[in-house]
Formats: sequence, structure tokens, C-alpha cells
Amino acid sequence: MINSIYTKQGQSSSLLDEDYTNDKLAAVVEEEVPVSILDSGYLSSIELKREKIRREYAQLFQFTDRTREVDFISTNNDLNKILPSIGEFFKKEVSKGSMMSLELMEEENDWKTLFINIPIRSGADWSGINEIVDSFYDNMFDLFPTVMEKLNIDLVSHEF
Amino acid sequence: METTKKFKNPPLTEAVFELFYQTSTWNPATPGIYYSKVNKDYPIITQSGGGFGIALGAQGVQIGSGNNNLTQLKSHDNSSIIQLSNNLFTVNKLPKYNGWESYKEMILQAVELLYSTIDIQQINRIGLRAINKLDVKAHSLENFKRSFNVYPNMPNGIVNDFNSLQLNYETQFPNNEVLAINFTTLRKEPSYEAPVQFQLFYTKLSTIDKSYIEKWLDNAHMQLHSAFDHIVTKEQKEEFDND
Repeated sequence: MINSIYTKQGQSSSLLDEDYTNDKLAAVVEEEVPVSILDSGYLSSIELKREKIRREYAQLFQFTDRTREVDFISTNNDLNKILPSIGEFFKKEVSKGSMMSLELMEEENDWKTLFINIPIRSGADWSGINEIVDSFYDNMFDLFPTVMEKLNIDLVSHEF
Repeated sequence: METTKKFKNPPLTEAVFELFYQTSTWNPATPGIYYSKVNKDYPIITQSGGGFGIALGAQGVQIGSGNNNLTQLKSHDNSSIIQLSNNLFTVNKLPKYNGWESYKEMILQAVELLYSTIDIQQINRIGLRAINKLDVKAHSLENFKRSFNVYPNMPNGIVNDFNSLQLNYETQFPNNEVLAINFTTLRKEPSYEAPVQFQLFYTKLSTIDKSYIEKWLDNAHMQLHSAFDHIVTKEQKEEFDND
């Protein structure tokens, strides 16, 4: 169970946490069952929820702000369930291992969109990358419209 | 009641009161009814799916449609938060924390309004949590011992130091109550070179009558305060009073 992994490897500064992100599928579908009385804190505490999200996304994304993006993910449970998988996908297929960033943009009428900023190496195959992103949009909008309307992908040319 | 010392720079990052309960009168309108009673002090309302499910709707497959939706009601400055679902009620205080008496009053008012909104059949668990974050400057045993009177004891020759740790303690008290303590090292972040999250949690794992909640709160606060006072070193406390 995921929660037992939290318990054994729960510290954010621990290198052991990297194993956790490898098990992305389990992270998406498994229910969390507290094994310690302290674990229920993730249900009630704002700060513990934030730390949990920071820890879960640490290998995939940098957060532009310390709390803004984290709180947005925390209050959009549907997004939180599949964003790690989306991150793994783009890290492997598009950013080729480079760290991506999350940035929350607030528009008029309180509408908020979470941008996934993906660095693209110089000399990368842009037509191939655009094809991957277009295909991703098409498929994910059909499957998860309420999640995708909160997301935007930004490809950022980056000299390495 | 014991007077608690107020530090210039307290390490408290969040105080949490939590109530797990059973009710038969919950319905989808309940968060809205509760909101209408507190919206002057908590005008910002958001809702998130706490449960996880898959539903096929007009817009296709939707996830996160479990029935444990959590409603958050926030003050103007986002520092005071009430969370409400069909079995969990919390009152959270993020900095700036204005002292125990102010926070207790906030809890009792929020609970009173909960009782006037739904029929609570039983409280299954009640808890009070204090979450602190300290900068120990370096994640090492030496620095950890400089801040805390509780630390791991490793045999010589096996491990002499650490750069990451998580410690959990749970101690049983009478009346099915538990004091739980957690230390977790966190990654470096702005303003914290080597942060340690230090959590104190006092909880009663059985039902409690509403009339006893205030008394329980005072005792829980006293237990947390006493634990903090004994666990944090004098040297570290002096740092909380630095400008």
C-alpha cells in the first residue's frame, strides 16, 4: 500500500523517496490506509497536505511559488490523481529527463490554469514533439475533460 | 490554565483541530448551509473531491468523483480555514497564530455552528495538532541534538550521523487518548537551510460528548505545550526570540 511507503520513506529530504515516484501507477490508483495515527494528518492539515504534494512531485516538477501551485493541486483532487502520470509521460517523452516546472496563472473571473513548462533541448525534433503534445491533448481531453480544462502545456526552448 | 510563552518568531506553521464524526443528516446542501452561517468570517469557499471514483458523465470519463467531497472555507487572508465533509470537520490556523485562547474560541464557535447545521450522532475521534518547522542549519545528529532533547541513539560503529530522518512516537494516555510526536527532515527551501518538521498530536480515539469538548481542548493543549516545552532545547527556544 502506498501509505506504508510513506511511513518507511516519508521524509522529503531522503534519497529513498525517489523509489516512491517510480511506482507512479500505484500512486494513482491505490487507496491510502493510515498505518500510524500520525498519518491521518494528511486528511486534516493544510501544511501536511502541502508537504505531501511537494514530496510526491519532487522528482518531476519544480514549483514556481512555494504554495500557490501546491494549494491548487491540493484542492483539485481529480488533477492530483493523474498529474504524476502526466509528468512521468512528459519527462520521458518530451523533456528527456529535464526538470519541468508548474506555474499557476490566474485569469479573469478567478479562472485558474496550471501551466506545465517543459524545457526542450536545443536541436530537438520539434515536429515530433508537437505531434506528441497534440496527440496528448486530443486523447486526454476526451478522457479527462474536467482535468484538462485546468491544464496547459508550454514548451520552452532551452539551451543546455 | 497554564500560561504559554509567546515567542517573537514561533516555529508553529499550523494548528489543527479535527473531529471525525457520524451523521445521518448530511446532504449535498450541508456545506452551503454551513457556509451561510460563517461567510462573514470565512468568505472564500472551495470544494475538492476527497474520495476517488470514476464516473461516466456527459463530458466523458470523470475521475475524483468520490462522495467524500471536502469543502474549505477560508478567511480573507487564507490563514483561518474550516474544512467540512460528511465525516470530517477541521479548524485550521496558519500563521499568524494569535495564541491559544483566540484559537480555542475559533474552534468552539465553528463546532457550535456545525451542531446547529447537522445532527451529529457520534464523535469517533477528536484531535489537536501542532505542526512546527525549525531550521537546524544542517541535517546532522549534532545539530538535531542542539535543537531537540529527543534524538535517535545509534550504536557506535554502525551509524555515526544522518542526513535524513523520520521519527514517530506514540504514547498511550488514560481514557483512550494518545500523544503522538513526529520529526521529519525536509528538503532545503527558501528561509530554511535544513528544515525539520516537528509535529505534536494529541487525540482521543473514542466518542466524546459535545459538552466535554472545551475541557478536552484545554487538556490537549496543555499536553502539547508540555511536550513542546520538554522536547525543544533551551538553546533552540532562545533562537525563537531572536529578531
